[in-house]
Amino acid sequence: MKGVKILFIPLMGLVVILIVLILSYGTLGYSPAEYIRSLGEFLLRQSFNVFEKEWWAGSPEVITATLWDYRGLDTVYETTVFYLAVIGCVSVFRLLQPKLAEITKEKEEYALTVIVRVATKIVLAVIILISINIALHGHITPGGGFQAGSAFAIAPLLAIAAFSRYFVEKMGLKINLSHVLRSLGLIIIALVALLPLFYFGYLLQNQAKPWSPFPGYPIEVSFLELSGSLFHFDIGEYLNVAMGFLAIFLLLSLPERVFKKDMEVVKSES
Amino acid sequence: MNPEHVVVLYLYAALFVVFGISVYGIVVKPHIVKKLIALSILGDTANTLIILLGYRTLPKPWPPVFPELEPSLELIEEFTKLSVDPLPQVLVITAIVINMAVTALLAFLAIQVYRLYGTLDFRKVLKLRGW
Repeated sequence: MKGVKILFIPLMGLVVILIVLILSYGTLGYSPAEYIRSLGEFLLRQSFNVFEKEWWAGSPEVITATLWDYRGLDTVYETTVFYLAVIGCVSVFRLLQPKLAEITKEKEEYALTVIVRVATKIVLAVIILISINIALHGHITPGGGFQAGSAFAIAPLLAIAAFSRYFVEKMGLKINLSHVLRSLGLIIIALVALLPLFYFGYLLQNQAKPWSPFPGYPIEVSFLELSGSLFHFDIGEYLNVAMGFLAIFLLLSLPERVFKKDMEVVKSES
Repeated sequence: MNPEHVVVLYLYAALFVVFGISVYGIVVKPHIVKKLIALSILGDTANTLIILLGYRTLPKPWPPVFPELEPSLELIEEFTKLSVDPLPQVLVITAIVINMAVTALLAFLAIQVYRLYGTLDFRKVLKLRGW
């Protein structure tokens, strides 16, 4: 056994060195230069080119435009992967008696100091407002659905640490609500992606193209800059990611004794 | 050799050292949570490498966001000449979210393993049968 281990570590070292050599052979040729590759240049030139609208995405934020327009199908599948991962988490942590989760509704005997509680409440409001701002502005300034959802994820985590799981549920952020809103986000994304098909356009079409009869999503409505479908996609993605993280943190903060009680029932039945 | 290229080489070297440490952690450490930490470090290293590849060695490269909502032709040309590559950043956003989802799922599985077997040591878990 020991001989195997002594062989094993140098072998791993060799593998790492080989991977590093292969990667650096592939990457050093492309190492940061003054010029970028032609695909990146195409994206930079076309995404907000108001003079030639054949390939444009209508968004000054090239990253969001690439994410939801040029590579839209990829991102839709990625959103589905996130959705399914949260479903996997929920199914691993399922309770055989859902009523046991009610145990957490008890008096808050051990509270942190007033300073921590007041400061956390102020910071919570700011975090949620800023995350909504990032989501709604994702097509004009840096940001978007993922970033806003990740920013929102801090809020329940902070509330659970400073107060309790019960406090988060009292704020109205319950786990069933998170599942509903998460599914709503996915439905928004699916509808916005499928709508051009009914106008004989193509899947995930954003702006009007010369070869497609779909007129394109509106770029701006009165004074609001919408950037076509990107705005709607960002909202759906924000709901999906933010509520997915909320579900994960609510499940993680279930006390251990709930699961112990749940398991005792299983043991006594078997 | 430009000083910028030397800096880039140092960054490559640092990233590969971190890469080696994370692979060591995944393979050798028996504790499941330590494997999980090493895995997330590996993902972040890969993301940093991809971001580094999209950088432009200009004195002041621009971020890939248009500074104005009503651009002129000259601004579009200047933007194309000065901004960094947007494609690696898009790929990294995708990778980060998938990484988070995988990490969350693995953390849940680790907690479940602890509940069922009472240990997170991989060698002990392998020897146990049922509960």
